[in-house]
Amino acid sequence: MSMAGRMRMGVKDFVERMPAPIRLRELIRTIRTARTQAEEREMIQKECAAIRSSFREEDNTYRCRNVAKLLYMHMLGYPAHFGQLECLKLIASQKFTDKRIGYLGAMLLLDERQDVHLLMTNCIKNDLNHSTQYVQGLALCTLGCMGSSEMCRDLAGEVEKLLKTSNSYLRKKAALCAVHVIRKVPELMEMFLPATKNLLNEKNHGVLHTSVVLLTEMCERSPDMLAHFRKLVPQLVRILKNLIMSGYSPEHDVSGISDPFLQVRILRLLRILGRNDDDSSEAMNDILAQVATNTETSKNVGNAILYETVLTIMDIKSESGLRVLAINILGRFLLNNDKNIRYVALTSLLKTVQTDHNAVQRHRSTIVDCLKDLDVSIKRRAMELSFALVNGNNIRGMMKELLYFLDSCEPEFKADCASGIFLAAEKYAPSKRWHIDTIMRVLTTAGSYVRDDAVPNLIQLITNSVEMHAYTVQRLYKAILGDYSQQPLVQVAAWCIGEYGDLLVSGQCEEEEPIQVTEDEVLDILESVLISNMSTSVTRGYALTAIMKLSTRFSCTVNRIKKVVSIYGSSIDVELQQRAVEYNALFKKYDHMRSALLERMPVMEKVTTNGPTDIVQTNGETEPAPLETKPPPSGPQPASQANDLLDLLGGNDITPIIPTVPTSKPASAGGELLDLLGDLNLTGAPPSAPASVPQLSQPPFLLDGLSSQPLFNDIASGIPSITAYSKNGLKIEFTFERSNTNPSVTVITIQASNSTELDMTDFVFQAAVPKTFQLQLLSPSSSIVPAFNTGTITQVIKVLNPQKQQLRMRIKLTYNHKGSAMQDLAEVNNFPPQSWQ
Amino acid sequence: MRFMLLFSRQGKLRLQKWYLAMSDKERKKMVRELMQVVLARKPKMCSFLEWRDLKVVYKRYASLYFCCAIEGQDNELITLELIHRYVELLDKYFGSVCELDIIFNFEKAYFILDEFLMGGDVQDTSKKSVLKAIEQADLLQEVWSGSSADKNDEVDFLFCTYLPLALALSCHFMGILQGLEERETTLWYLFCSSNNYSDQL
Repeated sequence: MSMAGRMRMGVKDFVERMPAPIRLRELIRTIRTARTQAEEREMIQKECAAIRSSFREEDNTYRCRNVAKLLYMHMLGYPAHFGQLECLKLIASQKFTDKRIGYLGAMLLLDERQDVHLLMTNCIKNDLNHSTQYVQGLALCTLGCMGSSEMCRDLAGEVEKLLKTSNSYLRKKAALCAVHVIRKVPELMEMFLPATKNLLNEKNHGVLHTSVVLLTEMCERSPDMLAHFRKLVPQLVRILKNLIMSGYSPEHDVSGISDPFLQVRILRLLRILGRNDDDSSEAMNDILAQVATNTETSKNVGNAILYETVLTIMDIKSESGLRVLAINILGRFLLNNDKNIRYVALTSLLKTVQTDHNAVQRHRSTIVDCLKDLDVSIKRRAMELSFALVNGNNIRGMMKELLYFLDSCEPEFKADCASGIFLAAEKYAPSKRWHIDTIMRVLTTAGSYVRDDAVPNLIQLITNSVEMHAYTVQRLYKAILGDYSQQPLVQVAAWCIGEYGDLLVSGQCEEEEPIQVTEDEVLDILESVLISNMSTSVTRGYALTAIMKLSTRFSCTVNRIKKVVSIYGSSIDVELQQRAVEYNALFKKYDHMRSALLERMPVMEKVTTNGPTDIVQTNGETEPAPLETKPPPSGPQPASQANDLLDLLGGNDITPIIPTVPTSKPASAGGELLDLLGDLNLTGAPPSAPASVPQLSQPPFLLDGLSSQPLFNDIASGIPSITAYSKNGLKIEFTFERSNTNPSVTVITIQASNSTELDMTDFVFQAAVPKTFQLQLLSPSSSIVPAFNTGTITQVIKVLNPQKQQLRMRIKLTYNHKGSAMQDLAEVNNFPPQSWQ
Repeated sequence: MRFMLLFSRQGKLRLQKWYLAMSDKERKKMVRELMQVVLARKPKMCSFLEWRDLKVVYKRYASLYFCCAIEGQDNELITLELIHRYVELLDKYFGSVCELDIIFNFEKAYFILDEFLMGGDVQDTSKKSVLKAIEQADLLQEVWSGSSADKNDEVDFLFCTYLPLALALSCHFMGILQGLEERETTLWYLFCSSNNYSDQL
């Protein structure tokens, strides 16, 4: 006899002699005695080995017990996949215990993405037609819990049959199973339509509840179904009314309220049916008012129903009186002792704040009080809601509260709170000085949490408020005296001191008590920023540039500045070293240009970024090689020079300004230069592949003045266009093209149209994308959007998306309309997949 | 609802029910993360939190956390009621349920859950009919197996009668000591009755 044969015999003998495997409860007890993780693991390994060998022996008697044990180990986190097939065998067994454990195991161990699960389709089918309802119930439950789309397709017919039985135990399960089938395979929905006819006539609450769930699912998925089921509104209203009116029924009551689960579900279905439909909304007004006023609110159940009612009232076309009632219910919720109730109140107020702004404003002080809550969930909601309530009238008071919150809140809130304050301040600042003070406050209290763009934004703001320069620089100087920990603050301060150092020293500040500072003291501070080990490389860059700028603003310390600059010529920080070397050269070789180059920065009109993003920086030193292969651009490029200058002086974080106003000639020329370079850049052709270069350097671009027709032919002409923005009569549509030469470039043509009766003038469209993309905005066709949709502005955006990620874009619109300046921000997320995949 | 978890204060998973397809690995990761977040919350905090793209509703009953992940449009407050209803069902079935009942009879806890919820939605709003279905199915299990010899396993009987009692007592007193038991909201009683359900496993 061979060795293997003997082994097999041995095992067989062993199994025959082996006593029954350890019982489930026994095993659990044993495992629970384990003192260490290692001990537990050892026990489990031992047991697993026994179970495996039992499985191998095709032992039918104890399979059920073994699978149950495996499920326990699975819960403890141990692998149990080897029990998958055994589950299928149990399901096929005739014993109910086997089936019960088998289906349970299948739900826990099988994954619908593994083909193994398909093996049980046939068993489920048989069991759905079984003579015992509990077996049918098991099959329905499993299908409704983990059925894959293939399974759902195969078994939908059986489910539909069971949905029509008179057996309520099966009917309720079939209804929920149908919900699952529809979720997996929406096109099977039609199939269940005939069976829904009599569902609401049912008396059994289980069937009624699950039917409402099924109807909800169908209405949410298909507008046709929604229209079809609108006729059920009166019936649903009647059911709800009966529920409220009915006396005590011990079976369904929960602390004195009859069947809250069913009530909530019906209210939710009513919400979907009444949305955007006047007649249906009208038909449910009364019952909603009745529920809202008559529900007992001393217990959580009552509040659950009220909460659902409020959501429904806010979502349908309800009467104004009813809406006020709803908001007042939420106001009462805010004062409730139960934190959970307060939380849902804040959540729902946040949903309604856009539509019922004034009604929500009335509860402002209560909401602001919630900022002091100890619970982070509530705090977050209160913060979001507080920001939503800020307006021109309450900005000072609200900001005081929010700044206090920023100071005291947990680190996780600081970033969001800071950017919220920035946005609100930008929108509603009562004065420039207040605006600057507010941002500075944020930088001093939460400087390390602000987003990267805060620094350039503040610098821009400061530059543009000419009359505030002396005040600002003095404040900043005081703020960083001896404290360099808040990097963004130090960066802004360094920039401002460099820019307005002369104002600081001359001490001519009207807004505040002037301070006496000498030139040397100012330089001391900047130098200590350079030395401080808290300073980042970027901050040092700011400080060095500031020192350099002061060489033209200060009179008697130029030699000291020269010395500092030359010291950093040998810095180990490459960035700093390069700067220092360049500045040194400025002192030595180009001294005659120094004062002109270091002149005060002009007022910045428009910056193309307004988010945590960067516009593709096409000029400058990053792409010098392709530049040389191009024909020299004709004409002067003041804009591009200005950009260079900015680049040189403005520190790392300032992005070049790409003006998008077509009327200014030089800017447009600059834009085209960018265009030209950008294009080459975008196609990603390395300089060593000259074949593609001539093709690209073909002149159409230069000839085509506004370059609204790009070089790209669409390869995917089927990309649907989207409406990116539609508000106040202004509509912006995006159409897409993909480049032939480089599929990672998406060309978006925007079309802005205006349906109001007045033209929109000075229209500027700006866009920003996340850092993984690069974006280029070409000049628009005009800056006026004519009224009555009589014409459009077109503008081309090119997006380079090398990683083919889902496109997201933030857009900013500014224009003059009816004599007032309008500004709006929006986020565009609905790009069709073809535009980026 | 996307999933429901039961876990102990020590971070041990006691039951998991998933209503969405996911690999075992992802599930484990989610369970671990969510447990950490929930266990870190203080007793006086509200029962809701936003976690990933889900709303999580949890409630603690003695040493066990019941935790449901629901979707955007779901009602948080009624989810709390749903959790409570499940606890009531367990309590009725086991007769003053305690954590040990759920550990030792986890499959029963699953059966009850599957009779109460399906695909994350409530199947029946009547406690009575859910319990009736479970009882009948249990009965069926015995009838089909044809033997009830296992039931009188003495060791098991003794164990299930007295050990949970002793442990429940100690758990209970510790709970009182730490001021964690709220009489009104918990359904945990001092005494565990003997198990009155069949055990064939």
